[in-house]
Amino acid sequence: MDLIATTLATLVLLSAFWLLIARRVGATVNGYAAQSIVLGGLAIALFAGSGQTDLLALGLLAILIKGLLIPAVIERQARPVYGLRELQYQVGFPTALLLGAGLTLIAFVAAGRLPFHPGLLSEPVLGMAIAVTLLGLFTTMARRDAVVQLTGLLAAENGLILVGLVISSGLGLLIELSLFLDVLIGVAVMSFLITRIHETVASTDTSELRRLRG
Amino acid sequence: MTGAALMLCVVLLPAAGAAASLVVPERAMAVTALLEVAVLGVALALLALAVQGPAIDAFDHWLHLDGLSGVVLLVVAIVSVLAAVYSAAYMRHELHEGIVRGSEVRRYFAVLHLFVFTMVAVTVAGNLGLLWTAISATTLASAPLVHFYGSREPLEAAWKYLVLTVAGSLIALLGFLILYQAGVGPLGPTYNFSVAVVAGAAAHLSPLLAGAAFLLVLVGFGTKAGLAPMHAWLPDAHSQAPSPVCAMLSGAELNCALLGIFRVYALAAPAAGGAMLRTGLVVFGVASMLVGIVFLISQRDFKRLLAYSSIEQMGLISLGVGLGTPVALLGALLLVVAHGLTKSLLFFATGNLLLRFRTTAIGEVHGVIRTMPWTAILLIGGALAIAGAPPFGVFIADLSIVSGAFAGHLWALGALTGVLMVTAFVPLVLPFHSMTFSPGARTGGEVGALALAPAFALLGAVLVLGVWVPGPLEQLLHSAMTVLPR
Amino acid sequence: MLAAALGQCVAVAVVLLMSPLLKGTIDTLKARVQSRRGPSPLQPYFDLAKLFRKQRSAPPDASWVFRLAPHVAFAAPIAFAILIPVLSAFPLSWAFMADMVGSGFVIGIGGFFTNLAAMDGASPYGGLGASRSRLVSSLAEPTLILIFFAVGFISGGTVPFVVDNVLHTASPLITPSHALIAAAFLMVVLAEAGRIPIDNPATTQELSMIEGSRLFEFSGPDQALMEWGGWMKLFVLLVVWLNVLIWPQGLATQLTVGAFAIAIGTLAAKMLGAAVLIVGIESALAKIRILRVPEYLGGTFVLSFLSVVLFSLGR
Repeated sequence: MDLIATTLATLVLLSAFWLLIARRVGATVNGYAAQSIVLGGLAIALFAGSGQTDLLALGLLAILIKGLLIPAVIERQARPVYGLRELQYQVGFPTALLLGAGLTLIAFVAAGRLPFHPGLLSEPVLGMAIAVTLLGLFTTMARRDAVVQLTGLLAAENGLILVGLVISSGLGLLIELSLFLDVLIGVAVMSFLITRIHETVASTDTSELRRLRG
Repeated sequence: MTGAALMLCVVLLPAAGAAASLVVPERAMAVTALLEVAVLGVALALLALAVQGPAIDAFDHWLHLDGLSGVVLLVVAIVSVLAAVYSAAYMRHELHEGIVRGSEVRRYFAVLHLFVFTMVAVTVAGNLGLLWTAISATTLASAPLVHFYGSREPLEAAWKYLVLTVAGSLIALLGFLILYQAGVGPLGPTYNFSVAVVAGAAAHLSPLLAGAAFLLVLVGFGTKAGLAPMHAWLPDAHSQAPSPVCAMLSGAELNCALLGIFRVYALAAPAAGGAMLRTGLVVFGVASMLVGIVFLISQRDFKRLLAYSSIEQMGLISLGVGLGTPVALLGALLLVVAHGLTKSLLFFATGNLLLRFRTTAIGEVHGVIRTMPWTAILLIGGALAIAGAPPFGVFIADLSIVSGAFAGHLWALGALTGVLMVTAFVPLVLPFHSMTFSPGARTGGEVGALALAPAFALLGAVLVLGVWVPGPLEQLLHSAMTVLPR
Repeated sequence: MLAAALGQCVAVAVVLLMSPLLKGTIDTLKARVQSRRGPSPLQPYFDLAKLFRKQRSAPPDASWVFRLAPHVAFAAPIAFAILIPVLSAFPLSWAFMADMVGSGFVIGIGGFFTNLAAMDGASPYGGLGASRSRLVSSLAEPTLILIFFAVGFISGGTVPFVVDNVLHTASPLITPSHALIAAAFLMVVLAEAGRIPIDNPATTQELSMIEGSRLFEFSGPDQALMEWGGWMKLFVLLVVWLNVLIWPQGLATQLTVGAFAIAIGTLAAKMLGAAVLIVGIESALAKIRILRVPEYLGGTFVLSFLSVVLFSLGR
């Protein structure tokens, strides 16, 4: 059981690295979809082990909303830029990887130092979860493409769902539902703006948007 | 029981406003602003109830109102009402000029009411998960308003605003999850994650986890409150939105983010020990004041000027709470009210300038005193008030914070704060002076009585705050002080 | 003692004789996947036989380095084979001559001499290939070091046989950190041995070559030694991957003829599996641009880093 969970969490972590370095918009969105589906699978595996039905609901919601619906929405909005030219890195590739590795290390140290009461999952999963969160946020800061920035935020949110699975499985379904609603509205607003960015600068590269200074 | 009903009512009224703006005819859109008046009425009734007794807690701790959130609710309600009224005048002018279309005005009002809904929800949220959701929802509801004019700069501002504050919210969510974990020790693995329950066990939380939770929330919601160095989005968003929205962003929404920080501060401090948490608030506070003032100097855009002033004031509030002496706490809470009202006043006044001159460049606005004498009074009064001149509310609050620092024997910190506030005076007042009194072409006139009335109401209010704090407000501030750790 | 030396000789012989078969099998399978008939799996043996009968020629300005290089490139993988568990799970006579870092040096010296000789030939393609192969190897270095660390962490030793014994008895066999290290090592093996996606061994375009352009100036027996050395390199690296990192089962546990025969059979089966895997990878992927090589190897670095972190901090 623990082995399955750790393996799935490792896959989630690897996909976070993938988002950090992916070269094309389509690859990024697909990476996020895969990450969400693995995350949902992890929640369902935990349900199978513990019998908590809200875990089952969470897993199914993650697969349906984050794995299928949200990627479809983004894909619809970002269709014109899908798989076109390669994305530029704001932070160089080796630097991004090294910083990402450093963030992972920090996450693991934090998870090891803080006195957590592990619930269903073990401490390494917590380290991975925090690492996914940090990597997602780092992706948002390190990349300039609007779609990739959005995906980075969503990946960070996936990491937080994983943190929630590890340390606060009793938080309650209602809160998780409102979180999902929040994410959905956020995706709607941001993908609307992505469409507008695309109309304005004919790409989704936000470094084109830099008139506001001082 | 009345408290519970009133709380439900105060949340649902703005939502009803949003629904109403979808059905009301476009010409009569301003009517929905009246619903916000009802919000203010209910909020005042609620606050009257709250200052009398203990915190109101209802629906299995889902909703909660104490002095601290009461202060924020008061500001949110007042600013929202006046912003809605001012929006009616502002949008009527924009419609008349042909800059916006009727359907856009309908959408504007619908989202405006939703924005108020999310902010009111922040103030009455009792469940901490709900609190986080509401605070991050304020971003989502206000981003379309920032993007309202739809051109390139508002788009850039809205995108930056969304990306940075959502990232901040996610960091804060990590903090909330860790706070939950901090309570697992005393409360068991499954408990009601609400203000009342966690506060009941606050002394027994895991100290390390509570401290970590606070730091994450401070950084996360600090981003949303515009604390330096996470403030990069604020001058853009607060300068590109329509003026009534700017008033709500600066005057009301920033306080909602601060409420999130202070809430977790109050919950974490008993276990984690006040000293470390206070240092965090003071460091971010001083950094924000410094950054705000540096960018105030030689600022050429009057809306950005006001935005940087907001950063500075947020820093001052956070510093005041971090000092923790009673006088400083009272000053910080008074500053929440005074800054909210004064900053809204200034955004309303500069909104009139914007409608008339169609620019935000300080250098292109001349001779306001001759063409728009009433607005000129508002500009000069507001500038003096926000810069901390007596006899306005901000002055009293500033003075309290500085003397609070001295009362806590933090001589250097107090002196630094005093010097910074004096430094900010000239760069804040001078641009408004030059716009008002410089010689220039005599064009246009006042926008209309409806565009002046909200600002004059606010000017009266901040003037009153400077000479006399009304009894019920004093009660409310004192009840808020009891929530915050000293 | 004598028996152990004999066993060592058998291991070396297996490496010598089976490596052309591995190359031939991969080529045949790949041709089948591409719906061609392809050469027989035995074709590399015929190639070697032909090359050894041909005349040797060298560029007029080439020095002794050029003449020495094929022998070093041929000897290095053989020396490496002594250090790793090819057939036996227990260490044979000379197994403790070097640990993993040391065996890395041994395999590296072959590449070093190949590069020198390629530049010594003064052909522009030789220099190009040498500089490119340096790029790949130097970028693979951090990953390899991390893999040694990770393996050292997991098993408490860096001598391949010790590692092997620990992993042999470890349970559960596959943990995330173990899987990550295996994936990272396979990616590095593919890069080092000049396979897709780093280099296309079947290409005829000089400008895109890495490995091939280094061998342009060699002919006759020299070329045979060079090519054979390259095949052995792939073979021994895959042996490390299979027998040390993935699945040590099937190795001989005592020094008897029967056990060694079984070990040879299992190794052949494992190699067939590896050949299928490589054919799958090479059919699914295209060679990446040379400028992307750092990204590929950066990926291996992340994998091995995560493995170390997961292992050392994750429990």
